[in-house]
Parts: sequence; C-alpha cells; structure tokens
Amino acid sequence: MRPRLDLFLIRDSLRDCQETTYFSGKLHKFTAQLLDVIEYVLQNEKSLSEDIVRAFASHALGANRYLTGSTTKESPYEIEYCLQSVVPKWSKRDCYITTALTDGRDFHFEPTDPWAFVKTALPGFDTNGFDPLLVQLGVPRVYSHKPLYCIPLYHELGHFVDVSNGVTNLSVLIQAPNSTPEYRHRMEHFADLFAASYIGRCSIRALEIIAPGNQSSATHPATADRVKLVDDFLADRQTGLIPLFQTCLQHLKLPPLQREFDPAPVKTAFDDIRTYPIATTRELHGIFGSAWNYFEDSLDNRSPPWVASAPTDADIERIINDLTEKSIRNASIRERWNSGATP
Amino acid sequence: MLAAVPTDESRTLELFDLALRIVSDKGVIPDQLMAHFDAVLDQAKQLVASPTKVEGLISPQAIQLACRMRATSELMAAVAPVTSLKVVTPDQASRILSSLEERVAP
Amino acid sequence: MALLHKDELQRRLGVTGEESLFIDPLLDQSQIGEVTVDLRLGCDFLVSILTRRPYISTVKADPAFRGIASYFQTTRREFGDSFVLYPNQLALTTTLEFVALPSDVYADVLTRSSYTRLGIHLNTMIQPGYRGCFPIELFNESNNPVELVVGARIFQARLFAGPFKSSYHGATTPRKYLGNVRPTASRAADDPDLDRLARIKEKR
Repeated sequence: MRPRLDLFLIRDSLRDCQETTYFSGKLHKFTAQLLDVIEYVLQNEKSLSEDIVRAFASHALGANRYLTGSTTKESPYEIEYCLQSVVPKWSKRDCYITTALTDGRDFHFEPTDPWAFVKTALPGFDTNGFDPLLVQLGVPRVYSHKPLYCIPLYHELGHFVDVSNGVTNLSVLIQAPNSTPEYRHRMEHFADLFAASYIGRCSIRALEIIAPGNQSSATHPATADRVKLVDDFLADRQTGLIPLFQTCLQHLKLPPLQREFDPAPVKTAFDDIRTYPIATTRELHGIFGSAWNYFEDSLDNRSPPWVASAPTDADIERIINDLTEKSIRNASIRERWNSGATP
Repeated sequence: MLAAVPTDESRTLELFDLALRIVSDKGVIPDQLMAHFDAVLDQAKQLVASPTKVEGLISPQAIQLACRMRATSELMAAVAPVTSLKVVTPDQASRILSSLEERVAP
Repeated sequence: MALLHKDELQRRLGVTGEESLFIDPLLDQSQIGEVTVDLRLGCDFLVSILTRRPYISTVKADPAFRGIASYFQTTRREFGDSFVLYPNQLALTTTLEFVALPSDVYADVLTRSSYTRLGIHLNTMIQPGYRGCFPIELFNESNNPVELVVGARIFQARLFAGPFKSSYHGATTPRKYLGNVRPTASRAADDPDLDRLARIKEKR
C-alpha cells in the first residue's frame, strides 16, 4: 500500500489505542508522540524523500502492532517487573514493555525503535529528547500466570542485549568463528550465560528436561555444551567463550556477566503456603532458581506438608507458581507504594 | 519452553542502508542521516583494522557493518574509497547497497 | 470465641509458628485497627458478563450446562488503577494482601463503611488456617457506577480466635481454593452431592 495511506490507517488505529482506559501513562505518551510524528510526516510529505516516508511508515506500523497487539487487560505484570529491573544496566535508554499473549509456545523480547529513526531521518521533528525503546514481550497465554515457565524470557532478554549492543558481532571481529553455525551458537551461548547470571541454573534446567540429548544444529549448540558452559560460568570457571564475551562487554563499556542474584530461601514460607517477602532486587531474580528447586523437589519427593491437600502434579504446580507470582507482585507493590510516598 | 530464535538483527543497519538508497534514488538526504552514515562507516573501518583498539562508544551499527565488510570482499572494496556520504555518487551507492550481504528489511 | 484486638493482632503478626498471623504486603501499620484489619482491593477481577444462555447451571448432567467460568471475563489492573463497578454488576476479586490465618482463627470480611455507603456490599467468612488472598465478591447495589481503586482500603476483617485448631492445609481431602492469589470462578458444580441429588431426581 502507499505509505501515505498506511499512515492514515495507523493514525486512526493509534487514536483508538489512546481511548483505551487500560493504557499506562507511559504508553499513552508514547502513542501521543508517535501520532505527532505521523501528523508531521503527513503534512511535510512533499518535502521528504519517498524512501524516508516509506521507512517511517514501516516503523509506525511496527509500533502500532506492538501497541494494539498488547493485552494490557491481561498483562503478566510480574514478569514485566522482573525484566524491567534488568534493562537499565544494559541499555542507556528507557524501555517500555508491552506484552502480547501468544497462542503458540513462543517467547520473544523484541524491541522497536522509531525514535532513533525519527531523530536521524526526520530532524525537522523535535522529539524533545523523548526516545524510549518499545519492547514487546511475547508470552504464551497458557503461561501468563506461570512465572517459573517464563524463565526463557531471560534468555530472550539476553538476545536483546546482544543484538542491541553488538556483543556477538564484536566477538566475531576479535575471534572469527569457523562457520556460520558457530556464529549462531555464540548468540545462543551468550543468551544462556546472560540468563544464568540473573536466574542461575534454572535457566538451563528446562533444556535438560525437555531436550537432554539434543545435538548441535545449524542454529543451536548441543544441549550438553550449553549446560556445561552455564555450569562453568556459575562455578566461576573461565572456559570456552566466557573470556571472549567478557572482553567484548568490556570494550562496549558494558558490565561483565556475573551473578546478579541471591538465592531466596523460600522453603519455610512455601511449606506453610505463604508468600516469600522478597527484600532485594537480587532476591527478586534469585526467587526463580529457589522456587524452581522447590518445585522439582515437590514433584519428585512430594515433600511439602500440604501435598495431601494438593493431590495432583497440576495442583502442586499451580500453588508454587502462584506463590512465586504473588511474592514477585508483592515486591513490586511495596516498591510502588514507597515511590508514592513523596510527589 | 525452548527459547525462540534470536531477535531479528536485520534492522541494525537500516539507517545506513536508507542513506545509500536516498543517494541512489537522487533524493534529499538530511544532514543528521549523512552524519550517521559517516560515523558508522568511519568506526566500522577502525573496527575492521583493529577491533580492540577503538576509542569511545562503539555502535552496534558499526560493528555489524565491520562484520559484513570482513565477510564480503565486494563490500570492503566498495566502501574503501568512501570517506563521506557527501562524495558518494548514485552509482557508487547502488554498488554498496548490492554488496551488503543481506538487504535490510524495508 | 474472642475477637482479636489490636495488641493481640500485632503480637500474632510478630511471632512464627502456629499462632502466627501473616499479611503480605502490610503496607501501613495503621491498617491494624482496634478490632479490625483493613485490607486493600487486589489487581485481578472476574467480571460477570451476559451470555446467550438463560441461566448459570450448576448441574453438570444438565445438557445446558456450561463451565461457570464462561460467565465471567478476566481482567487485570495495575496497582493504583481504577476499576469501575456498574449497578447490579457482580465482580469477583481478591484482597491485595496474601493472608495466612492461624489455625485457631477465622475471619469475617466486610466492606468498610465508606464503601458500604456507596452501595458496595460484602460479607464473607474465611476458614481458620486459610492461605491465600481473601476471595471477594463485589456487588454494586446502588444506582451509579462506582470507581474503585486497586490498592485502596475497601475491606475490613474481624478476626476471631477459638478453642480449636484446624488443619486447613494439612487436610487429607483436597481443598478447592488452596493458596489462591487471584479470583476463581465458583466451583459449585463440583459439589459431589449434586451427583447424588441428580440420581435422586431420576429415581422419582
């Protein structure tokens, strides 16, 4: 379709978005700014290069897809909260997270960045310094209240950090891989290590359960190799790609990969079916590993005192995921409550 | 629960590609876009020469361009004489575009 | 039965073990009143919706039976957001707080008078030893839609201690709502007595 006509349709769609009372203040402002840019482009189209108008329409379409495809009425706020706490260390820009509940099993953490485009290609529009990234979190609908099953999102966040900073690409310049698959494998290893730095071994546990014997493919390393590298990283062994990644991060003036979590001692609380009062951000990430271990122990050994009241594995899973979710939720509520203490 | 494939990185060089397309199409290019092109190309050349010796903040765009330059001799040859987008002709822009390994998603 | 007063409430909040009262998050100590505990509106709602079916059946053998959850729509709000309850509308929600009641204490939960005066009524009882966010059935009996803010102190609980010790989560029979953190639709249709009653009806 002609870019101009696309922009009219996108403008109307975004206006409808704004009318939705469920929209957060931040997304409302993002949408308002985007609408202003659309109006600017429509009014100045004749003086702009056709390539620029076409490219901008593509950005606007992408942002529209994120904003309208996000299910704010059912957002997994808890997962968003955990991931939102990670981003500032790895991105110099604000990051607004929206969530799309998917019908498949795919997770994604995908940014869209209209403002870098606007600042560079539409300099006549004054953004007033407004330039947050818009990130869409893709979560399978069936997992939206299952934080332990959303652990792959930390891996996806690792890919985002990698691509938005060029970590793996820089590693290619410093130490060329022997093949294209090896390059793809590096990306997976980085994302694995990134996830492990925040949530520990549970980041790789799913692979051990679901795909224990997976061999190397064109896109993914063998499970055994992935597990070994994560184990080495968590044991502070500088093996394989770990030193190379750390070098790249240093050159990019980014923090090193290191443990960013503390175990959350959930057993006493969860045994009594109580939430665990998370005290720090490190415990916020650490609760995933702790709850995961508790979960596996409960399924394998049926050890919690309340198991008799929850006879099936599904009941056990539901209780532990709910306690984890609510523990995270309460941490975010306390933080927001304290933030509201002063204007 | 297995993680999906990595984020699509084909948009990293979008603005670099856009600048070339505008020149190729003989359009009007904003100064900021021209400056972006020049900065990315300059840093990419430094990275190709010595990836661990680059001063200042390294942009992901420059890194990706440097990777493409190393991987594609035609691209390396096409950008070698270019010091600024100001001096790139439409024909040169077309050649550089076609030698970029993957076309950037429109 | 003894209505727990402030000193006893605070004592139980500070101890561990069987007598322990757990409220998380307890955002403000002033929520502990002389004989009540103020509780806040939670984030998750099941809102009753009109469907094409003539009634909600609770008998699974009924050909017209459809899952009770299908008569409700899920929605969430963030902390600080508003939820509007329309006249004659039923919405299921929970308290913001996750509560662990001691095994010798049960709770009566009501709306605070500020909201009762707006037409929002609630009166429910929570079993001794309960674990979870208190389930709340909101109903607007007024002529006007009422705006409720997630996180506002809308409810109050009176806690009573007695000479008994329940084994709420140590029970050998499964509990329907164990450790719930969001509203769940009624499980009236899961009542095993309904199967027996259906057979009684068939034999008449």
